[in-house]
Amino acid sequence: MVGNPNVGKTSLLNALTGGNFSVGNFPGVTVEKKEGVATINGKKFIFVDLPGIYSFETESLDEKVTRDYLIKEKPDMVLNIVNALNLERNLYLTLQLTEFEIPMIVVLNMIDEAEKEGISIDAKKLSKILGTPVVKTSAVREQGIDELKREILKGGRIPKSFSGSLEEIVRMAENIAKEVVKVEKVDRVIEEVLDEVFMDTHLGIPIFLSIMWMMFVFTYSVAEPFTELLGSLFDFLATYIASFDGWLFSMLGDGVVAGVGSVLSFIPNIAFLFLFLSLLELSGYMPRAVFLVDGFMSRFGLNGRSVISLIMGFGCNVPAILATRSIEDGKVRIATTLVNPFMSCSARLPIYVLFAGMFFPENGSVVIMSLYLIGVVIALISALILRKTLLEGESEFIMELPPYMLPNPKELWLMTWVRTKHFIEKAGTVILGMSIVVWYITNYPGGSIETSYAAMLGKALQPVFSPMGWSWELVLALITGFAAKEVVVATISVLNVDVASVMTPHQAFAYMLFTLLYMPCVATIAAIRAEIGTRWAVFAVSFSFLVAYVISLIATGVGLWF
Amino acid sequence: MVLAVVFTVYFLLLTVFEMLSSMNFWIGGGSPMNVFVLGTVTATCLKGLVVKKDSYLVAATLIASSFSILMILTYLATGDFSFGILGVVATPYAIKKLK
Repeated sequence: MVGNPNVGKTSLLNALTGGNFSVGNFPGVTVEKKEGVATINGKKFIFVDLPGIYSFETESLDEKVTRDYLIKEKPDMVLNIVNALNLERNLYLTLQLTEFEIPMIVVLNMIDEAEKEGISIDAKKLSKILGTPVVKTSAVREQGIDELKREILKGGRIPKSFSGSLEEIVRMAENIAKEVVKVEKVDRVIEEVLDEVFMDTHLGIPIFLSIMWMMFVFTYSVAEPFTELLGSLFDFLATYIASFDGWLFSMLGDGVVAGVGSVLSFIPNIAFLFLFLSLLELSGYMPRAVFLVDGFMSRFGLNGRSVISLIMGFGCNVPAILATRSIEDGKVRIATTLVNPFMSCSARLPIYVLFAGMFFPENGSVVIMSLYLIGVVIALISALILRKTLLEGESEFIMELPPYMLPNPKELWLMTWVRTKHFIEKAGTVILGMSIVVWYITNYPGGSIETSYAAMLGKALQPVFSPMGWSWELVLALITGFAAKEVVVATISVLNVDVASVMTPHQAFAYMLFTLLYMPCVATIAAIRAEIGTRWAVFAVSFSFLVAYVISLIATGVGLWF
Repeated sequence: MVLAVVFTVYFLLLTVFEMLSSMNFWIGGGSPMNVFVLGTVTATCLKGLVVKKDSYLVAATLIASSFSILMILTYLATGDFSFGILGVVATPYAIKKLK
């Protein structure tokens, strides 16, 4: 499955295979190839969804993945997914694909959206010109899928060859589009009406900030009763299990249930955050936000493609770092990768909710939003420093704005669930393991916490953080949080620390800042190493630790004035 | 255009009330960020009035409706009142225009 970014390849893969792959109304969702299996009339087909590309002319990693696949793997057939809203632009790639001489089917996707905008395409004529079958579909609404399956069974056809220079191909695409596309005048479509306001020079940014605020209110305030309910449930379970005699019950109650439960009780916050983010992505608003801030980002040596990766970082830094593959400029790519861990991922949210609820109960949403904004500001300043020193150079970026869409509830649910599931899986693996480790080092040797390994480790490192005034328990939580940021909360819970009695609100804010900025988790470091090498991974760890230390020291100092 | 004037004045009043509430002069519990959102809605209505374009009113009522739904949910979840709830009166207009 080959096509431009954001033409609905993954939606089509889901429609053909009944799969659960995450989609987005956002260019660059697929950066690695995905495979799905479908049985059509008793025959087994393996569909490979390749990263979206505009042509084979540039040098980005996703184009290399697609080109290498077509040349080395020699697929039986190419499904060329084309955006019916913008046929001419999509045809550049179609014409270049004809040179591979692989049987092909052209899929005119998003045909329902095109028709709404008064665009009609003569599929028969296009089929005759290209020499391949052409099928009209709407993957999101699952229209035209049966016809596509029938054509797949027939095996497609090797297209006519349209080789030539880029200029010649552009001209041919223009001529073909003129022949097959008819545009009727329709009333002003919703895109025009909303874009006029959402992209307004003066109102665009305030509207964007308002929407971001709504996201944090939804994540923090609306989810609150559910979080409290789950928290009470896990507290009860932990106390009940630990009330039995024996080390096993102590480990299960005070270690496993207290640790894992303390993290799992934040599932409502995480799910609500992902639900809102998915809504913004699927509705088509997110690329507008990217477009709005592109000019601003260029002042920091980044571009719109970097913004996509940075916004994805609000969910999880690992896929966000993989998303930098679509950035053509190597230096921009490295800079984006290095600053990505400063974007506050969902794993840090339980820490904020815990501390904000305890120290800033009246202004929890404001505190959380300010942490997210501080993360963005630090990321931008870091990018500027990197682009002016180690990674000097210019950058530019082109992006197509997708149509606004009322999100399909199934896709909205799928997107939210896939992301939330990742959080739950981590609770059952890394956090479970770390909770047991923390329980062990807090209970042995000697059975008293003051003589435990945890106390030894925490007290040994505490002097490093003494300027901030954090207790050794909180320092230990930071160390265990290196495995995964949620473990900070699990550790505090297993250690049974009464946080409110060991720190002041300004120390708590400095602590939240530190957890926002300090070393990325192990999985993120592994992703950085895999993408840009060991040297940069070491740099990312040292740089972020230094930034976190300095910023929290400043926050502690400033807090003392009040 | 009459509607644009009505909405501009209405949301301006809500912004002022929310501001007073956030400064604990009246009712209490308001938030400066809620003031910002209501202020943005007011500014959007006002721009629509100045440039005489419906699109600004459509977008403003869409934001106000979404915000009011969110504030109702927040009220149900936490008991915190915001004047943003009263933005719900813009919902019928937003739905009609979007349809």
